Amino acid sequence: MTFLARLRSWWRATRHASRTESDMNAELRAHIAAHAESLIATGIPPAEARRRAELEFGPLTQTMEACRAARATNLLPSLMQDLAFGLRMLRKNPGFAALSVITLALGIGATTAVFSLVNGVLLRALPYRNPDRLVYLYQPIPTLPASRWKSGARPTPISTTGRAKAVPLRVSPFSPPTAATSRSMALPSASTARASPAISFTLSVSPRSSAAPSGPMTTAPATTTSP
Amino acid sequence: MPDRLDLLQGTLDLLILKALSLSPLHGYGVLLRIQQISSDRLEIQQGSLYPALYRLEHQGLIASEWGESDNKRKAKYYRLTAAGRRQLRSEAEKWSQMAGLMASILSTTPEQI
Repeated sequence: MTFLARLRSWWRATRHASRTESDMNAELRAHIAAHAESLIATGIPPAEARRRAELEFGPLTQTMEACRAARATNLLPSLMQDLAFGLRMLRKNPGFAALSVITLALGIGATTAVFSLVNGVLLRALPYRNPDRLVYLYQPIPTLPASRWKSGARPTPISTTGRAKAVPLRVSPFSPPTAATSRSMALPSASTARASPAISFTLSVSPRSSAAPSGPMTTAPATTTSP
Repeated sequence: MPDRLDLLQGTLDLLILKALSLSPLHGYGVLLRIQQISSDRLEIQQGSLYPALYRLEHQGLIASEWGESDNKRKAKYYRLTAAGRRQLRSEAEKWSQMAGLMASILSTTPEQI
């Protein structure tokens, strides 16, 4: 409510800026005149009364500035002045202007690029059901025994597991053969991920094939899960 | 003439609201009214009245319109709005609590502790 009142007052004062200004002028001068009159009535000569009234009122221009600030009427004009000054200065020093523009452009561009990357890779949730419950376990050295994985903390039970492994492939549609890496990925069931590939389709893996266990593997602690 | 006191920080707004709650006044009238009800014991820089008046009007606590003063001059009259009346009541309440507290603290004697 007070914010609305302030906005209304500011708008009124800014729209009728010249009238606001002349009103203020008239009001302050009327005050000084009235005070001078009351001093004259006590027997002080007019010139002296006038001087005393002005003195007791205090610095007039400073008061006016404070009055303008109280209603924020100087907000728009001073903003315009600052803008105009800035533009003039830029035109005066084109080298500096170009340098600032390039710096800003590079800065904004770099920040945007980095953010897009971080947003895509780190921040955005994975398009699966309960993305915060997905964990990524891997064994850095496959020959290390599984017991070395143990950590002090009690592991959270993992309700379903899937697994992925990198398989070196030799793809040779043409000679010479090129090395490539394939990743086989086995998710126990579509219900874990609640997602389907953006292109192509999922292959259903028959239990007989070499791939991962299908169907839920309940409460297998991280310590005993090895790839 | 008794000693004049400098105005405490932040009390001018409350004084203006109180003066205007008695009747609508123009700026100079507000000054005279405050001097009158304080028995001339408050030292107010006359010019400082106007930024305060403008601020209060800006906040919607007082409203103004041009009228004619007693000596047939154009003058801007201020009056309290409903919001101003509420503000005056709550500020006066706070002020008297604070004043009472300060008085009781300052009058404490060693035997009372």
